[in-house]
Amino acid sequence: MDYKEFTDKLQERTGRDVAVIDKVMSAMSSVFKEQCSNMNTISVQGFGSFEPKKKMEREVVNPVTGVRMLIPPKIVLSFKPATGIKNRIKELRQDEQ
Amino acid sequence: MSSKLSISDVAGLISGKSGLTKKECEAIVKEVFQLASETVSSGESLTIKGLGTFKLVWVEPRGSVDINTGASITIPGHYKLAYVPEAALRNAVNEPFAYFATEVLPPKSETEIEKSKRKDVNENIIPEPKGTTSEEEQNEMPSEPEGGETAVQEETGKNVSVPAEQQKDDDGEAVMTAAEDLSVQSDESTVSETCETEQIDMAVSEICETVQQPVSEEAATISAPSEERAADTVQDKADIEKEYRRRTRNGYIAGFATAVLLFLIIGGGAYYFYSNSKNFDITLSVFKFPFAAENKEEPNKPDTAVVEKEAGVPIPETASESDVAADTETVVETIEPGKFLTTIALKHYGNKIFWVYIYRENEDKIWNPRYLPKGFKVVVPPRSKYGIDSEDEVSIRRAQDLEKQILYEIE
Repeated sequence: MDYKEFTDKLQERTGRDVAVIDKVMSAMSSVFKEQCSNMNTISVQGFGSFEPKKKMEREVVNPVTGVRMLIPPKIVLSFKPATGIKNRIKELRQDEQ
Repeated sequence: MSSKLSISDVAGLISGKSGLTKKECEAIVKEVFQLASETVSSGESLTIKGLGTFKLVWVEPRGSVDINTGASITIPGHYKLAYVPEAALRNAVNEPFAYFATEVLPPKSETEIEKSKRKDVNENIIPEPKGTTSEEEQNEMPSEPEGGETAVQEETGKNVSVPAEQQKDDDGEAVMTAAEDLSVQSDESTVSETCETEQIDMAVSEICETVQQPVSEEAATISAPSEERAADTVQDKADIEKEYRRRTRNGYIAGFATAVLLFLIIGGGAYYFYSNSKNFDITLSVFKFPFAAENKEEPNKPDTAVVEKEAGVPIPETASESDVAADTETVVETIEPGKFLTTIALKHYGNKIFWVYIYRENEDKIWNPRYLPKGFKVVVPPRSKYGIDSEDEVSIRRAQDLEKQILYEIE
C-alpha cells in the first residue's frame, strides 16, 4: 500500500479534511525525526517501538577480493514490532502454506 | 535524552507543531497506527511518508536447540516485519556520524602481525626500570594537545635540557675540539689523541651518571600524570557513550580528542614495547621505526646527492639543524622529539645504518642510544673520519657489522 492509498483510507476512517491529515502527518514526520535524532525511543501501543541504536564500527573483509573495509560507527533507527502484531504476522505463514 | 515517548507525548508535540488540539492529534495518530497495523497484519507492505517502509520478510525454517531439553528442534519458516527508515529520517538519526565514510584498510600489515606476536612475548617480558619507561612517555608528550600536560612536559623539558647544557659546557668543548683535531690529523695520531680524550671521557661519563639521576627522577614524576591521563581517557570513553546520545557538538569534539588520545597512547605503548623488548628481531625493528618502511629510504636517496654537493662548502661548527654534515667538518645536532640517531644519520650520511658512527662518536655521553634526552647535543662526525659513503656497499656492510656489535654491547 502506498502513501496516497494510505492517506485516502485514513481520511475515510477519521472523516477529517485532507489538509488536516496532511498537516498531522508532516508534523508527525518531523517529530519522529527530531525525537529519534535525540536518541529518544517512540513506542506506539499495539504497533511497535522505534528506537535509535548505536552500532559500533567494524571491520569487514570482502571474501572475493580480500579487501578489508572499516565500516564507520553509526546510529540506526530500529523498529521492533509489538508482540500482537508480530504474532499475527507469524501466523500469516499458515494461511499461505 | 534516551527517554521513551508514548503516543500521547508524540501527539502533544504534533499539536505544538500543527496548531491543532492535542486531542485531535492523538485521535489521528492513533488512527494512523491502527490502520498501519491492520495493513501490515494483512500481509501488505506499507510506506508512510516521512517514516519509512514496513515490509514482510520471509524467514526460512532453521534448526535450533531447545534450551531446556537440549533436543534439536526446527524453527518453522515465518514472516517477520522489517522496517526500512526513509533516507531523510535515517540521515537525521545518523547525523553525528554523518561525516564518516567506509574506509579501505591496507592488507594486514607487519605491525599487526607483530602486535599478535607481542601478545605472546608480553607474558615473559621483564618489567623495565621506571626511569626509561617514562623517558619514553615524555618523548610522546609534546604532541599532546592538552594544555595542562603540556605545561608539565615543558617543565621537564627544561629540567632535562639544563643538565645537558651544563654537561656540554663542562666537556662538550673539549670533546669537540678533540674530535675536530682527530678529523684533521692522520690515523696514527688518532690513537694518541684518543688516549688524551679518554681522561675527558671519564669525566664526561661521571657527569653523565649524575645527570641521569635527576633525569630519571624527573621522568618518574612525569609518569604519574600520564597514568592519570590514562584514567581520564577511560572516563572520557565512558562519557563519550553518553555524549553520542546527546549528540551535542561538544560530544564530537570530545570524541575526536579521545580518538586522538587513544591513538597516541596505543602508539606510545607500542613504541615503548618495541623499545624495551629484548627480542633481537624486534630490536632491529626499533631502529627501522622512524622510517616505518624500508622503501621510504629510497626517496631520500636523491637528497644525498645534494648533500654531497653542499659538502664542499665549509660549515661552521655551531651549525643549526638545517645544515648537513660535510666531508671534513663536525656538526652538532640537538635531540628533539622525533629525532633519533638514525634520522640524523640519514640526514647527514644518506643512510640510517651510519647511526653507529654517530653513536661511537658520542658513546661516552650516551648511555643508551634509544633514550636520548631532549636537548641532548649530538656530535656528528665528518664522513672522512669513518670512511662513510652511502654509495659504497663495503662501507654499509661495515656499519651493519658495527651495529650488531653495538647492539650486543648495550643489550
